[in-house]
Amino acid sequence: MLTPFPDVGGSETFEQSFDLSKFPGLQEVDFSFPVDWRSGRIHWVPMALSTLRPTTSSRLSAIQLHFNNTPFPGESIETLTIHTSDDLRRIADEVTRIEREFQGTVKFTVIWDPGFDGHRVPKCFLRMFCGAGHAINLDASSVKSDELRLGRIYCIATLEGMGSESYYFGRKDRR
Amino acid sequence: MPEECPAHHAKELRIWIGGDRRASEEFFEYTPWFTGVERMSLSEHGGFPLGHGGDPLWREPSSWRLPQSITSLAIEADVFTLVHLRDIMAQLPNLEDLSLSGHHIPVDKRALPGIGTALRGRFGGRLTLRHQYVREDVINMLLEIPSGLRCTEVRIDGAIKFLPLAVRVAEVCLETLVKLSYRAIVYCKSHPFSWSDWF
Repeated sequence: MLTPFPDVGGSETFEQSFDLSKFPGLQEVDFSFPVDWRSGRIHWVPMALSTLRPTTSSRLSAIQLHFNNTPFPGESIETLTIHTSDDLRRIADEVTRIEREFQGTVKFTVIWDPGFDGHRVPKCFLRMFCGAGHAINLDASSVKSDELRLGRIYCIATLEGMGSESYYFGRKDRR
Repeated sequence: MPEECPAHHAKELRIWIGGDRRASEEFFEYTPWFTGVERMSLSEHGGFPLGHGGDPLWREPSSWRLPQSITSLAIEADVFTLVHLRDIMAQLPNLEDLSLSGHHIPVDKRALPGIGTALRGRFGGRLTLRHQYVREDVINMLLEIPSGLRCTEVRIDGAIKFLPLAVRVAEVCLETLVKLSYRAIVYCKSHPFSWSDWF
């Protein structure tokens, strides 16, 4: 049986994060982070997003959030995200606020990378980023479909290889 | 330089300093011939594990002669100390883009205050720091550059515990920054794997 490797140097929580309001010329923000089983580690993400305002970031045009799923062997992906649900909820709330305040001028790309051990997009993640009230079928075959529409966020690509699958979600095109 | 030598047409130098290091480092005797080169990459990884910190350099980078025309430098190697890095970058007065990546960078035990004051370059393009180059001594050196950092793009991939360092680097470029990329990495203790067991 595989034994989880003891983690080193990663359990810190930070009161400090990027204050994005300080960068008047900022156009693109790209954050990539592990969705961890302990709450607090991704606290810096909603903190940074909360500093974005149309008045201070008038040139902002794109934000990419890349969630890297790195559960320990045997750990349930749903359990993992429940433990970080407060931070995930805060991120989802900031995404909603930014979309509203920037009036759709910011293109969001949200990427869920399930890593080697997770093969599904967790239900609570989809609920948060796709809005309540949408029927979400988590059957892997349906998630793979590029046609699958999930409200605000939809699947734009699926990559497979090396026994791992990555589901890419992006904002629906505005027409 | 021989008259018929086409070196001045080259725009990019990709130098792999693994393997027979003496041979690759001897090449630096000829690098001044490449008068029009704009990009240079120094890489060491060849897909096989080297020792932590790699094998020592045969010749110190301070004796290399690098083309002054270089505007973009990319290092992906585990062999350079902070002093080596300073000696390389100090030769490049037109440096705009800098990319540093490595997993087992040798730590210089000496205190090196002011090491960055010798650095030249404009640093108005892209700055990429990855893995062990996201470290206090490296970043302090960059922050000491007399002309300052005016990067339009900052990309940092490093241990989550160094988030405050990433914030510092970004905030130095606050007037010029257009794109910010930050990748938080959580490292685990290395697996007790050995190549000899594998074979």
